Amino acid sequence: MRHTRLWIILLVSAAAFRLVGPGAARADEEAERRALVRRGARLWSPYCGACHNARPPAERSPAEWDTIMMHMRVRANLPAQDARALLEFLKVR
Amino acid sequence: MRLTRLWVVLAVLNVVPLWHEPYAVADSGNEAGQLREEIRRLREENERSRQRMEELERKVEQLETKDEQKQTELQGTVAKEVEKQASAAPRRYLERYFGENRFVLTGWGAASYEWQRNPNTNTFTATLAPILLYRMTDRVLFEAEPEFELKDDGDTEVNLEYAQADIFLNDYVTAVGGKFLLPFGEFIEQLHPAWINKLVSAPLPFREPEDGGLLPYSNTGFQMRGGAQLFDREGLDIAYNVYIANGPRFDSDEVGALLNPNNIDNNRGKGYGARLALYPLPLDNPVGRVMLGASTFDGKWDDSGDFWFTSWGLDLAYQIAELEVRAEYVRTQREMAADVGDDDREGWYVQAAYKLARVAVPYLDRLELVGRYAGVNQRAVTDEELVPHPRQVALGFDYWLTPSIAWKLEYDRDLPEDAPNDDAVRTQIAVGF
Repeated sequence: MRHTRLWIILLVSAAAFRLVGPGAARADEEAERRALVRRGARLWSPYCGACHNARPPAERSPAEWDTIMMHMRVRANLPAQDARALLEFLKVR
Repeated sequence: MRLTRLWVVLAVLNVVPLWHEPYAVADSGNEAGQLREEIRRLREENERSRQRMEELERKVEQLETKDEQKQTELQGTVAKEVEKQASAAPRRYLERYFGENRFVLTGWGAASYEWQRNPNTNTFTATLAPILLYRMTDRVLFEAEPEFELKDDGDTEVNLEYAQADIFLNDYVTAVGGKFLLPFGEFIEQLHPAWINKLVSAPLPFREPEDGGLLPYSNTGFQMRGGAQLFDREGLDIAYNVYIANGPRFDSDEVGALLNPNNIDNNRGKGYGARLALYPLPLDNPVGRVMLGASTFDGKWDDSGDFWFTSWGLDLAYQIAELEVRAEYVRTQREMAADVGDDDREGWYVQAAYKLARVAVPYLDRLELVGRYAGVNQRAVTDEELVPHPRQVALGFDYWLTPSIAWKLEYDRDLPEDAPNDDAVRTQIAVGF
């Protein structure tokens, strides 16, 4: 009887995870990305403007920003999390 | 008796059908007609079904023919696609390395005009400095900046400003190997490109070494660098660099000698350096953004490796709204033979810039006013175009055509009077791309 209950619980949990899990994970990722974009938008002017005029996101393609932000992270010693936020912001289209 | 009864019953049973006979004959006539009618109807239905079946069979045949044609067409398309893919393999190979924007070309260029009163200079010049970036993986970046510059003798000078591999070890440490810009103060590493430098000229102590600068622009070696946020506050950051490199080198043993590149180390001693920068105010504070930095660069400078070159510097940057103020100080000591005495030098600059972005006048809002005061003190100079104690006031403006294209105009007032480089007017179109 106990085993039966255990199996039922496991099956229901698996089904629930199958139905809800990936969707919830995707929603979490999207929420995290949006938070990074918001943070990047806050940092864009003061961080880029610390040395030069902030360059508009549309100047480069998202793939180019991937490379350029690596260069800028080194040149300006940007904290990694801030560099990620700036990158997400610069890649928004 | 029993038999008699039986016979009676049988006789009665035989009489009953005879009594019903006329009615039965009439019913069977109607039924036959109905049956014939039913048979006719069924035959018609059967004929219609046969025709329908024939029609469907024809359709099936047509469909099968079409399907065969489609199969043939599909096979042809697949064959063509396979052939196309095979012929596109070299292109895809190139795209893998260049087309996915792993390779990015950026950099800057400038066209300048310079008039100097005392040496009677009146010339146009041009500089191109492409920066080549190649992202090998998310953790490895190669970058290089060759600089092409027109020289007095008409030749084009090419310098490898830097060429380095950056390896992102974790969020806090990036390992850098190769030839890198000297992380000393802000100007050399971060502000010297023409589209970033707000004036045409470089501050006196941070000119190129061949022009009298107090520090080398680059060195070859290994570096660890990175940055981190403090106390989980946005903008409250710390940044650091530590490095070992070939070290300093001079073009002679005389006091006041110019620094030379040290691409191949001239002695067995190495150069060591570090920089620490602190951003003590978080972004949400109302008083602006401040950066305080301290740097050092030291190493044996002579061929025999007997004498030390030591240097240290402080730098500051302050930004609030449209105002930006920067200042850097550097002091160097070059150990010499006892009977000569040390070759000490110091230099500084203070620069302020103000953007007129809030002036609601078309075109005027693109203007940025800039002023800078700079000076150097040293015992002696070996270059006849330099003086030991120059002072310079530079005033000018940037007109920003776009965020990375500026037209700059600068007037320099140099002291002392009648120095070899005395007063200048410079103008420049600088482009960051």
